[in-house]
Amino acid sequence: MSYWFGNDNRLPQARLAIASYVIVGMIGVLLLGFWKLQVIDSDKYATLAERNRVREIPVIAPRGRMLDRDGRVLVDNRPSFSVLLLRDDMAQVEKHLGAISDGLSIPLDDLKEQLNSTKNLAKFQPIIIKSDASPADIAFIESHKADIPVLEMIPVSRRRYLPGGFLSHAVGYVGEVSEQQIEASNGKLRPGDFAGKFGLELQYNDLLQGTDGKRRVIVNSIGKEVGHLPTQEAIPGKQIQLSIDYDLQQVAEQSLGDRPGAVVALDPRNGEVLAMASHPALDPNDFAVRVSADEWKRLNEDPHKPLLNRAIQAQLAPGSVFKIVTATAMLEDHIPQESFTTYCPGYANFFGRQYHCWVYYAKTGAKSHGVTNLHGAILKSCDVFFYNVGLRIGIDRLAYYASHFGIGHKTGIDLPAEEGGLMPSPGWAERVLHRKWYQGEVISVATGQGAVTTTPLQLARMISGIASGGVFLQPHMLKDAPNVGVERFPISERTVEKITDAMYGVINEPGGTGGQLRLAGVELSGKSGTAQVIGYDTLARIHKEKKFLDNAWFVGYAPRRNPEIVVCSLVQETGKHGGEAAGPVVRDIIKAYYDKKNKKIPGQYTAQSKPPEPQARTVSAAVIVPRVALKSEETASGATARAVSEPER
Amino acid sequence: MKDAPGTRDYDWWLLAILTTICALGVIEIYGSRCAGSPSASL
Amino acid sequence: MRWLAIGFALMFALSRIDYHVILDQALILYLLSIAALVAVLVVGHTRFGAKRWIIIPGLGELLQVSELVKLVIIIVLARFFAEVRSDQLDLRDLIKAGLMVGFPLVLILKQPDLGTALVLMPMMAVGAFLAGLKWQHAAVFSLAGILFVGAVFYPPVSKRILKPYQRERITSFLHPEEDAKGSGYQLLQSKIAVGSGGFWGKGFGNGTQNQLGYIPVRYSDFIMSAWAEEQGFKGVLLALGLYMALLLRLVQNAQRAKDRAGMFLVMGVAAALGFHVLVNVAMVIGAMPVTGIPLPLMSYGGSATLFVFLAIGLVMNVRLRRFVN
Repeated sequence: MSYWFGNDNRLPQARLAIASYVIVGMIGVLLLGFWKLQVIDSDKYATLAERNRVREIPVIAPRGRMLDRDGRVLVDNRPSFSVLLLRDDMAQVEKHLGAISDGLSIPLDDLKEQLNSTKNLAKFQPIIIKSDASPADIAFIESHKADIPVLEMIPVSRRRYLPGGFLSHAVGYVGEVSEQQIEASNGKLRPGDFAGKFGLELQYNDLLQGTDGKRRVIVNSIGKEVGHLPTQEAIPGKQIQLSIDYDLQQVAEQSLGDRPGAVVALDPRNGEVLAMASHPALDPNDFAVRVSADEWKRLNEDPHKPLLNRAIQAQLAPGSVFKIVTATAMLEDHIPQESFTTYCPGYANFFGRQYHCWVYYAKTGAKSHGVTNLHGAILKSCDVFFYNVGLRIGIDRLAYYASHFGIGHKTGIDLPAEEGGLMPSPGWAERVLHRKWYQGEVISVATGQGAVTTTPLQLARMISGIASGGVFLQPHMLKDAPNVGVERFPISERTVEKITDAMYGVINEPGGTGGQLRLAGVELSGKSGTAQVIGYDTLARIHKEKKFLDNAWFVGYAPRRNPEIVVCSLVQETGKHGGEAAGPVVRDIIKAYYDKKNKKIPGQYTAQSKPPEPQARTVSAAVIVPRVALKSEETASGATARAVSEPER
Repeated sequence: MKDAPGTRDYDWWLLAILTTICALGVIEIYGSRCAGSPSASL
Repeated sequence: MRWLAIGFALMFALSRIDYHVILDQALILYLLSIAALVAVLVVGHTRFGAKRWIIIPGLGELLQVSELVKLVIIIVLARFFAEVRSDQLDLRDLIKAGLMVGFPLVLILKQPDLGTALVLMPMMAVGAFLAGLKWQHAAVFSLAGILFVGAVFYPPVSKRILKPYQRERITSFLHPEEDAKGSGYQLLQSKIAVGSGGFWGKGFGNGTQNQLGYIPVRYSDFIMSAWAEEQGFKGVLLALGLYMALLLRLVQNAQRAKDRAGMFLVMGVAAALGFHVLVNVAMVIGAMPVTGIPLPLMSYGGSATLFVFLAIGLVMNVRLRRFVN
């Protein structure tokens, strides 16, 4: 043995013993650590482990369809694919971002922006980076499944609306949810989801939307799918049945044609909206995926305001339609007495100013209405008569009646963004204009001019209520809706009789402003209105030709008492009078209603529950014009040539 | 340094412990590697 | 498996050579290992960003040099401490031993291989302790050690002395939840695996953390994590029980060694194995940062297994000669 091998071989037994205690202690401490993790905190880690291996991929619930009152499809869905970006592994995402941007033709900045805005969401939640993937996108994703593992496609259903903007304003559209919507949704909505933005899509979004399901896949730590758990099925959105009648809507759209304006058809018995059109229309299919900022700007700045649902949002002077309010007020208050007559020389002087009757400007015939009573004044829409009546009634009583008939108030229809219009009053003048009410203003208001403004829907509801004896129902878009709001403002039977007789006369008696609208076998009644965008007298004063064209109104209904259908149509800036321009639209719809009711032309209205090709029919071109509409237009123009003696104001 | 040590003198206990631990490792590695796919049991 | 067989063979082979003969060659072995460590820095193979491996000629296998160096250090320390003929270890000897260990330690750190470098320290500490380390020295060194660890965890200092990846490991150890997919990922996933195993475990092949690849290097450094997930606390009890038995058996062998040299050899091995178990298992339960120290015998890894068997071979060697003189 070597030199170093000494004799002193006493071992430090005590210290060796300490070493063994240290070993026991060490193992003990480690076991305590395991005990804490595996026994005390076991549940917590079990949950974490569960979450680790399951990735949830949304299964988008299809939105509910919209049907018309006969069950025909107005809005449904078409299949499409959305591209998901899986964000569990941000390093992978960063690595492939460039390739994704190229492959899916999304600007890199947009992608980064989207990632940035979603960085607070849970990592295991994928985000939608592209909606409605094109075939090229799908091919790209399929072919790069292996090398870009962070992309995934999910089938989604996209909204399919009838082409050409059919019923577009009432239906509305869906769009990508805003950040505020996401926050308000309590986690139900994620970025990239779609929700109703306008019209019924917005109003009934909660019903239509359904609940997204989850496809739960087991993944390993690098995100590779290795199995799956039972899928939580999506709950499809509920289908809603509208009170809209496809056939009447069709007629409304086509009869209105390319003129800006609106049509509303109501069933006065239950408040159901049978048709609602607003032109110019917009094609919500353009919004079904994503509307570009430019397109949106263009729509917003379009002078024709295609985004406006004129049926509920246009606030315009009702013109002579308002005379029905004045007449009802007169008959109810007996001020002046029913026998009141005036002589109309074409103008009248009040407070040192001359007010003209529309007849003063008429191109043909005598520029006078002669002596008229109430019946005749409604028939011929004599302004001078109503100037005098208005002055006698006074603004307070007039505003009282108008308000109870709904003028200046929202109707409460189940559509968002309804406007209320305005019924002026002394109180309003002081509150809003900070000035005293001028006595002369009632003269304008009594004939539906001046500050009074209404929406087409409001007028339809007003006439419905008056013709039904004072029962004003809340208009609504859903068929068989429960709890329809009712406002009762009893009108004496005699008044109703007088007013409805006069409105029947407007169309069916000689000299009525709607004489050209007569319909055989239908007690079509109504009242026309022509409202200046700028006052007649102003126009005359500035000696200008009619550059500012009038808005034509017509509210028609049938039968003459307790009507089944009331239609209000507005044709904007036509230059024609209410009976001429707006009347035929009303007539077409009411004729179609009776034709359908009497099954005169079976099959005519049920032809297309889902018109297939978008380019085949546009509203303005009216390629497929149903025979009804064509026929009615022929007769209407014939009637104009033959019977109309006096256009009306 | 007279006699060569006999096999009896090996610390068989130590070897037994050693082998068992090795076995644990081998079991864990091969056992879990050959087990069925996880989704089958879920 | 192959490594196990080779390990057994080498173990028996090593046990045949009298350890005194081996101790005689301590200086040569020491110089050889220094040379090997330098060589590995120059011509070594790089894997996982570190130069630690050389090819064994003829076998085509990669060998982690530092594993063998650990063995040599055990031998060298045993020789050194056996030569100290007093019951008390004076400061001069202590510094000598420190320098002896320090040189290869620095070389190993250069690779970089923090884990293996760290293992040298408990060998030294245990050796010194048994050689009669004075309590006051022990106190001073413990304090120094605590200060060092403190410095490592204190960012302004660690910035200067640690490599970025090492700092990251420390940070992720301190705040594993901060970025569950980043550097704290491994520790958190390991804890989830262990914790979700519960008392009874999930059973073979049912450990989702393990099977789905959430456990990092699940056959190597984190095998205890996989074991704990699938076998539960009862399995851990068994495994740690076996390790405790192993270590206590080593201490017993040391107590029965014929001479101090033999005792130092055995306790060097015990220190190395014990430290491995402690650091590895503590890491698995998230009580220590990731250091890359495998679990002896259970972990899958050639060189490490080889080291353990050679070390046990030394222990056998000492045992076989306990009655012989």
